Amino acid sequence: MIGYAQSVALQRINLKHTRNNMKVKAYTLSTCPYCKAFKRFMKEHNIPLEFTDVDLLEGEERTKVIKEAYSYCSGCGFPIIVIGEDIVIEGFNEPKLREVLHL
Amino acid sequence: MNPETLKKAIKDRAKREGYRLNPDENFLESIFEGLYKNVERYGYPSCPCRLSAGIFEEDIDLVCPCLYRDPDLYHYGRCFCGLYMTEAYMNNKDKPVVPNRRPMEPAKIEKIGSRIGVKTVGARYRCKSCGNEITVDKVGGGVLICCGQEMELIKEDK
Repeated sequence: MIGYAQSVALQRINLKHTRNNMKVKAYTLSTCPYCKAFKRFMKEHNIPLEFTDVDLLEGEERTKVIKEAYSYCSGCGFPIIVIGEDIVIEGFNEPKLREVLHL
Repeated sequence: MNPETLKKAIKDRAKREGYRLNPDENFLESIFEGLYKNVERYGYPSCPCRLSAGIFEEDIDLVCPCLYRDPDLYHYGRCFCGLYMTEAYMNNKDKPVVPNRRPMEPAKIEKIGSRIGVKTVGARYRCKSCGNEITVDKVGGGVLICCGQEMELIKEDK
């Protein structure tokens, strides 16, 4: 049986573990207010974000990235947020994001 | 067109059509910025929240106000990007999420973009969904779309 202090410490470790290990990537548009708000949110919470502004890409790279983005969520609105391996969030859904990232 | 004339045109249109614009000034500015960026790079104000192809014929349904604005305002009280709103939506506590109504299959978009549309003056078209009927006064060559689908040619000329 663990005490309260240990339990809190463990929770903190778990939280840190989750936040540090869940890689967050996103497919965004440079013109989209929701994508901008999402990027700002991640910055404010100091969470590393790997994002691609799909509209700024050209040629084969653009086709490849669009295909990749829609493989996660076909027909979704932007940003398409991918957390870890398989958590996909469509659009800047702040409550959902807070829940998944334990914020 | 400059950013100010674009803003004015959108504000005037909203007033004329009885809609409201998003009351969040910062958000509104962000949408205007996105729209104007699209005017600069594509030549038309396509929706800043959707991915444009940069080819007018393919993006015709995304030019603001987009083809999906009215059905979205009708069903949800807000357009997809949140630029236009209804009075009721603004007063309502529930703010439903607006799903993306645009068909995303590239094949479908490509098909509409590459098809030859209106050919003759006087031709009549009907919307298979709402029943709107229109007569062509001037041929531009594009495909006519109503309620999210191509209109049906019912009479070639007068």
